[in-house]
Amino acid sequence: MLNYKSRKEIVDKYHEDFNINKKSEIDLLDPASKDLYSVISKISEYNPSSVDLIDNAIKRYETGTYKSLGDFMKKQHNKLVKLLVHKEEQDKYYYIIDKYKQFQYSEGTNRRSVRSNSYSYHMKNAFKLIYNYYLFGFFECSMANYLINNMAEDKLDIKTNYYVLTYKIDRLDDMIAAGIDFGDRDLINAIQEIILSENNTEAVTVHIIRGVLKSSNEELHKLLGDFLLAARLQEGIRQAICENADCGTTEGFLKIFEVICDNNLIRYSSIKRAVATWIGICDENNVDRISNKIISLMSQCILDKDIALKKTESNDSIEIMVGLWALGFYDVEDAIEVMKKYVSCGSRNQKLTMSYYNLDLYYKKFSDITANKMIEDHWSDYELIAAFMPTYLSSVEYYLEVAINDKRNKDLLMSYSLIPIKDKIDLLNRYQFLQVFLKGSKQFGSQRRSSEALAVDMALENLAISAGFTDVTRLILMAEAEMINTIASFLSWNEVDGVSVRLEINKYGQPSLVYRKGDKQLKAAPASFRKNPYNLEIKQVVKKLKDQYSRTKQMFEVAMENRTLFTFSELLPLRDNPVISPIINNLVFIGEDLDTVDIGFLSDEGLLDYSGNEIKLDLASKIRVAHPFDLYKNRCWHEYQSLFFTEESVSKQRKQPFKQVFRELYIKLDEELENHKSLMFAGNQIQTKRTLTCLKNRKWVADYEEGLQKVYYRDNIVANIYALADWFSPSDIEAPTLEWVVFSNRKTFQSLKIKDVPDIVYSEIMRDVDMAVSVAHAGGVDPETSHSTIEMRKVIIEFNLPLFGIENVVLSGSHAIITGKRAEYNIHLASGIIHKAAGPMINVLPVHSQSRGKIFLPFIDEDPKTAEIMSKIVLFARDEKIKDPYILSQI
Amino acid sequence: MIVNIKYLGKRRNSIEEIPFHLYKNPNTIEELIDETVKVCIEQYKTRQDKRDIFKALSRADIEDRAARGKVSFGLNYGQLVPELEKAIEDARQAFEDGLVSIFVDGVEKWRLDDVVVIKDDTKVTFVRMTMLSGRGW
Repeated sequence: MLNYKSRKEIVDKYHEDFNINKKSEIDLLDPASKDLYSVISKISEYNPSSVDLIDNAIKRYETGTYKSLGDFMKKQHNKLVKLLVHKEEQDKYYYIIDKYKQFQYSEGTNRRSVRSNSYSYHMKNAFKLIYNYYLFGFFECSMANYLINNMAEDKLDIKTNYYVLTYKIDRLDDMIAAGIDFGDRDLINAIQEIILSENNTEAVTVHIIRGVLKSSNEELHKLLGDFLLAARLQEGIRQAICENADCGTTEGFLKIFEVICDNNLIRYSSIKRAVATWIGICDENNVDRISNKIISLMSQCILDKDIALKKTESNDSIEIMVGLWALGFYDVEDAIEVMKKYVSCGSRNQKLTMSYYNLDLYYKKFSDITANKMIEDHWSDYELIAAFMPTYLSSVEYYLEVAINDKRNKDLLMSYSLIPIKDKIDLLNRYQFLQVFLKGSKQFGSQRRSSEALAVDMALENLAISAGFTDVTRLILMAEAEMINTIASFLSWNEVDGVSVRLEINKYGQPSLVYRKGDKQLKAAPASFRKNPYNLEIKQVVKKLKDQYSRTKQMFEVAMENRTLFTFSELLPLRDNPVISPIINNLVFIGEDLDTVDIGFLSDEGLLDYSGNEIKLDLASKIRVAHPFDLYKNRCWHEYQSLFFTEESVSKQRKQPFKQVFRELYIKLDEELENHKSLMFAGNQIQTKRTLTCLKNRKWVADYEEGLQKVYYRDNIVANIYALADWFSPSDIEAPTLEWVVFSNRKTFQSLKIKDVPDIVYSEIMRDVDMAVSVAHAGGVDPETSHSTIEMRKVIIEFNLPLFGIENVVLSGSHAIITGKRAEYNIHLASGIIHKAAGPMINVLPVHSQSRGKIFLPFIDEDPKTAEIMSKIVLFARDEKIKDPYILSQI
Repeated sequence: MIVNIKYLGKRRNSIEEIPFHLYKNPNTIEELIDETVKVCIEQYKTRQDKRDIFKALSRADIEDRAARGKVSFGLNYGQLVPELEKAIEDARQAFEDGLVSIFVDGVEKWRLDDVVVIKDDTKVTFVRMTMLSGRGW
């Protein structure tokens, strides 16, 4: 077994021997080749001397009269090629660099399908490839043998551990393509075997896929299309093929594209993501537009240049993008011609759309042509300037800041309540002013809403202190109770201009107006009376009372969550308040002492429990609104639930103002008590916007850096929701997948063990998240989540394994241990994380695609995390069938 | 037919055999999917209709649900009503794409046109699967 040191020695020796044996040849290199030889191992954008030398080569090429890149290399750097490329490979080398023109010139994650008639953009790669052939020489075997790992043992070790040494042959795909096109039968057979066989241990790699795509071998193109169709649950295969489909020849791409169209493969996220990348609209907002319609548009444009040109005359952004894509796919100059037209006489949308296309043309020389012109012509149009600025400034990030004049000054708001209070009326007025301000902030986004809510909270706190209250709740309680006295006069009949009107409050606390003319009851206010000043005034009062009802209701719900204590004497007078009594009389309260727990509805003397026993309370006794957790813990939850379901309760017509007794309760799972995060909702995909709307109402805040969070100030706890980090995976084009809920200390930022989170806080947070999953699920309808514990999953997996005919899996502790053909693996039954036995983690992500819609079948288990784990077990138990190059490269 | 479904309780975790009544006897996997989806959609809609009706849970129910980490009342908060046709389409496609594995009396079925004979005591298991992808970097 080799280690890093011995591996490095072997590789170093290869380089040393080469330098010694070839010294005379190196000395005989012409000066330009010698310079290039000195940087040949480090050609990159980050190495200035290599950039200069390549630029120099481009200049020599462009000023000369060379037929092709191969012609140039033969005439200018023949000695360098002879030095580094094995004699038998030299023809292939010249062949494939001549073929470069058929490949797109842009590379990397932001690449576009753009081809150019000029070889200049490929110069860098022509030199890189020379070096790659030299690296390949080390293995002393044919390409076929290299792919099927048929080589000396120590060399194979270097091949499999390339990442340790950065002994990486980046352009292996070029070499494979050259071999295929030269009709290397062994190589072609090896590739077919690797892709087709269901029982081998050689790995499909991205290089093989790219090599096939860069070749002109129709048979292999077809094989790749079949491979794409046979991928089943291995989404990574589709990803690997499609995201590389644009790297090779136009024929290779068209074959893959045909398979996608003919088989409606656009339903897969991997394909959607690839298509979005090809045409350059890969962002969350546009994903919905990637459909069959766009595919057929692409298909028309790519097969017929005239249609592509026609589409660029459209004003529809997608048609423009697709048109430009199809033109640039064959020759970027055609796309640039269209863009030049846009610059001089295009519509505003055409200009804006082209800025996206232009941004990623990859070579400044192309993108600048239009960007510069655009900036000069439209210097006063900020939107257009902003759209082209990133290109204009050449990758310098530039933000146009728009100063917003914030008239809603929060500092003033907070000091407003510090001005000494004249009397009770003054206090009530200010209290109402703050409440109105708070209501007004509903029109704004969640950030602003939460900062304004915080400002109002502080202002209320200041007001409470100035008025001599111990805390805000007391102030609110007093203020809300007082409100009824200020409107008392409206509660009796008043006759104005011949119409009698009275404000009524029903037993649910809802106000309404009743009208009478003489002895005659009216259904509504007479038309002539509607604009009467008194009517307008009393209508305002109705509105105020409605607001008050919802405010008070909310206050008690928050008090339940925060476990806020009230004295019995504070609550008692509210029992007569027509707006507040329907709220508090229908809630269950709890009083906790050292050794006694009293639970029941408010009565004049104390609390009335479910069986009708009255528990007497002192006026100073402290009680709070009971949470279902209290009822559960004190073993009377069933009794209180029943109470709302009996004849008796119907006669009493108890109606709870908010969900209390029938509130969903979340109990910490035994297996998660010691953990720092809960995986209860892991694997559910949610629609971002709907989730935000839903959680905003529950005081969650969306923060750009922290994600979604909710703060419990009293408990100093912050709860955060985390989504799966799935960038660059097919699922990053899907709705986010929930992963964890984490609780942490608000001041120290340290995460808390689940067991240390107060039970009620835990329950409420989980309830919020579950609610979001229910109403904002990617599948549209409520998925009716049901989480499975590790123990449950074990039972399910034990049951499923024989069905799948799997015998090489053992369940032990919290893991499934799999003895595969390539290696041994273990999969954690809660997180689904896979490790190679005593080795590194193997990163495999689920691509749930729940936006396809809920599947209405009676599954043995609905839990998406169980589905993920089960799928991973099935995949790895038959690891000889794994063809996903991104997984294989990790095994 | 009888379907296998998980049961999570305070004292036991098990796979329960639940009788499942189809409106029409299916002859192929495709028909089995269609008929099963129809029943599931009906049941789902019933839960949606009962949204505002609360039923008290027994003490044992409360304990069992607490062990699952969530005591709820079987209510459905979704605003959207599922469409039968789309649901059938989705389920068939999911089966074809491998997102659903179906076992009839212990034998895995692979194709929509596979013939099946479903009797009252035929045991059917639906396993939910998901696509997987290695990380691309």
